[in-house]
Amino acid sequence: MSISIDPISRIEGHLGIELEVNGSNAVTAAYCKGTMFRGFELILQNRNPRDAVILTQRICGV
Amino acid sequence: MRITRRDFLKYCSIAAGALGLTATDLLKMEKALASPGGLKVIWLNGQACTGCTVSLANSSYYTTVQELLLALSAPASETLDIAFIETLSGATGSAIATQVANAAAGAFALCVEGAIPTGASGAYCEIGEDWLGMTGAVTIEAAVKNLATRTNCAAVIAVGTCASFGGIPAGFPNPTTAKGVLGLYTKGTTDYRTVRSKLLNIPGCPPNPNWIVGTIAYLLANDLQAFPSVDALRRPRTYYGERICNNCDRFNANKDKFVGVDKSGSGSWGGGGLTVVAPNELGNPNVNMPGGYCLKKAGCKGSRTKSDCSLRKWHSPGKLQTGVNWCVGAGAPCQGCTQDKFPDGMSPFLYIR
Repeated sequence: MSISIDPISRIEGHLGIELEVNGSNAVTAAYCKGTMFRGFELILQNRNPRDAVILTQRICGV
Repeated sequence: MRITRRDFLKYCSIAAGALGLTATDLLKMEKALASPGGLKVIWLNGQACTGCTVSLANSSYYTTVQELLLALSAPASETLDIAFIETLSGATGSAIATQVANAAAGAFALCVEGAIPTGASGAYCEIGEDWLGMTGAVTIEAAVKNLATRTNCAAVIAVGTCASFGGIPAGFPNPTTAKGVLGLYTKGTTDYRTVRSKLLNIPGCPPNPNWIVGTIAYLLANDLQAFPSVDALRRPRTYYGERICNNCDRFNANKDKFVGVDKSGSGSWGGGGLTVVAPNELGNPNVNMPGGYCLKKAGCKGSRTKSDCSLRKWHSPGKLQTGVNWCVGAGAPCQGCTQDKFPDGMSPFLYIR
């Protein structure tokens, strides 16, 4: 049986978990996925290097 | 030590985010957090850094978040019932889908935090599974489009510059085709007019908690029937009415003296006898303290930016108290974060030569 917990709350960002559970309720496989992409690396390319300090501080606000 | 019920609930609401509580505990906690009869709020996170949620939790000027949610002193009609806010939500996984569906059944307000990617059919940001009759992964784009145009959606509040105008995720080359809430709709369509009529943008990176809470409080005080006066960017004039420079200590006290570098050594920045101070003199208290020299030559965007940062300031210590400090007061040039041109139109943020 597979169990999906998506989204995981009380964290910063977007996270989902998928579990495979066998007949005796043991987890046989677990996968997690971050479900958000902004492309900070691409946004920073060819930009004035002094901007990096202003932009990268906004990667995580928590 | 005697702990009152009020203290206890306050403590719980602070601790709920930090504790890993069981599902049963969480249901009890949800009941404590939700003010019965309060305005239902669905708060969706798109391409967000969650800084806006954290800023909201810092509210102290009008009311604290605990009082807004717990209705300890206010009537229920002046409080919020936050049905879903991802970062502070008690429920997780499929229980959230049920919460959102229940909230969307009646009158509710939609708060959006973070930009909304439209590239790759919105797949750059998925916020859950099987929500609102949609099967499989639900993108923030689909969720906002589903909720914002409903007739029982009383207000759409775009919290932060990302949700308002696209912000940093929409910075060149905008890899995910990120947009603000209104950017999702084509100008001239019925949906565009519907959403625009009930949209309030609270830009800022992050927005001051007082701007968020003050705007929500205005809606509650007017039973959602009257919206605050807004400018062309749909920002409440109360908070975004004046340019930063208008009330800036540095500008008003020393607008002929700049922090910057005199390139030629003889006042070439401004000419005409302007005093130009090199960054290596920033240790000079006249330069660095609030009321010190103007930061325009160091890259300050205050002249192009509208907000009341210079008056309201940040980190208010208590009810109706002015904040402790602000960017320019601390010697950091304004980045222009409340404008729709942020970040590309405000770049470079710092001039250091």
